[in-house]
Amino acid sequence: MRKSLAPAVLLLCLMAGRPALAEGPLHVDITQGVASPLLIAIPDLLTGPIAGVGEGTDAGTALAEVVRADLLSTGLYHLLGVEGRYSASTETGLAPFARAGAQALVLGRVRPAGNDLLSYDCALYDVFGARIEASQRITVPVAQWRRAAHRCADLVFSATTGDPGHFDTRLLVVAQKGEAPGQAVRLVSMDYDGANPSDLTQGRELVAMPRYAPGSRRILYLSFDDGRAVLVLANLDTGQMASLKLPEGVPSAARFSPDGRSVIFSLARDGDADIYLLDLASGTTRQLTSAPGADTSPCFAPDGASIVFESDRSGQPQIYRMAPDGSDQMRISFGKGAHASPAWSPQGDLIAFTQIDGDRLRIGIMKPDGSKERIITDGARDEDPSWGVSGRALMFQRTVSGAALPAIWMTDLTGKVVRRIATPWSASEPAWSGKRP
Amino acid sequence: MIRAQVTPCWNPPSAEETSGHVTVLMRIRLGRDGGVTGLPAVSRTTGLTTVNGAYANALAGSVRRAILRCAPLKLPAELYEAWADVELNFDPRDIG
Repeated sequence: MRKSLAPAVLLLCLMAGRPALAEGPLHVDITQGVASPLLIAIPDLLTGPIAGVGEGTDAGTALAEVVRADLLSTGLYHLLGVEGRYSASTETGLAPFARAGAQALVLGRVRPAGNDLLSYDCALYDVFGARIEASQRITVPVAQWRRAAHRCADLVFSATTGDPGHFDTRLLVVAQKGEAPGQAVRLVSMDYDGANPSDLTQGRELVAMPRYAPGSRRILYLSFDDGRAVLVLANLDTGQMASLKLPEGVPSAARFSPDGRSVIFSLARDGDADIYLLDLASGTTRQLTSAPGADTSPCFAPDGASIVFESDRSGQPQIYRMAPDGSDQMRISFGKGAHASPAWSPQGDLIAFTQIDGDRLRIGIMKPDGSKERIITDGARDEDPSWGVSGRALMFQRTVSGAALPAIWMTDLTGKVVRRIATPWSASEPAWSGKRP
Repeated sequence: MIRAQVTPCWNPPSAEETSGHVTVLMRIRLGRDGGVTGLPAVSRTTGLTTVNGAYANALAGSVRRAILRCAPLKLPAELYEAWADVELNFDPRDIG
């Protein structure tokens, strides 16, 4: 009796909520999974040294190291080491990686491509399905070999998360090479991971608040020439620089609109700061706020349909939101302490900010209506968040307790994966670029 | 039984506000050993919008990996006819 019942019971288990006599395939709903890092293997595919790539190491190793560092810095991948040496010139079987439990495998083959170029064949394998999920041949000048690795990491990131990768990007900072505050301040641009820094200004004038236009080739910053603040627009391709013509007053906190055609900024005069919008083509400015109190740090939503800004009109800095013409102003930050420097995420789903709680500054995120506020960093003084194009990481400025000068740090949105961007000097006010061309 | 075996293998990409609610339906044929015959193919995707195509692709990739990673499924041989042809509906609604 028991024995003959068993198959029927099993059948019911299999069906799980579906009429037992239904025609067609067995239907099963899977509504839960395990949100854990993707197990990934990124072995070195040895190819021998290539002059100018890495420092005397095998070129395949040098590139694989950059790909691994990129992906690990997001907290979304768990790296699996697999025994054995692999060469770029032979087929790499998937079996050892499947046995090690890797779900994804990245194989990158680098070789010189003539004319000081190198090519990097980057492929993401689905180990269990034994198929290529995404692949790309990346060709770059040898001197820019790190970009090939960053673009490979971007390919893997976007195929596995659905968001654009933020690895082949640049970071703009205000660097200070001297010891005393205000000494030898320059604008420096570098790869997002701190490599390949280059000075954009020479330290003759004070510079502050740099921002990228959409993409990575035009920038804005504040320059103090003879003590007078001017907004400078620079094109990094042509080297052209121009001071923007603005109404009388002291400008600050400028940012581009999402289409790159306007600049939104704060202008202080007669002891009151308000938000203005400048149309770059026509040179016309328009005042968007006029309430008493300092209105500053404006930032557009990526769709251009709203603007967030900081205002102390309530007595302490809080975050407000308004329409692009300045109408419908309303406060959205109501969490503990004061809130400053809002930055809208590239996907439009979150606003990052600096929370000011007593003498402590920390980075937080919230939804664009101010709900679900979450503080994600835990330093003594963390400020000035800037989004990566992935919408899954932020750069910010951290001054460690007891230190006089800050450095740039990067965090994921959980705050669990935090690291310092290595720079040989102190750095502040990070601006993270979009994708490089 | 199938759900209990596949759930731990599924590692979906984390969703964002713009990801929407995408579900992926995969139809697979299983051999008597519980192994997947041929490559699993997506038979239907719901919840696609103009902005979540890349997320939906990543979700479909995670679904394919989950099935292949879990195979062979351990299922009662005497009921093979019932599970030879399975439609798995992956819906990330309960993922925290």
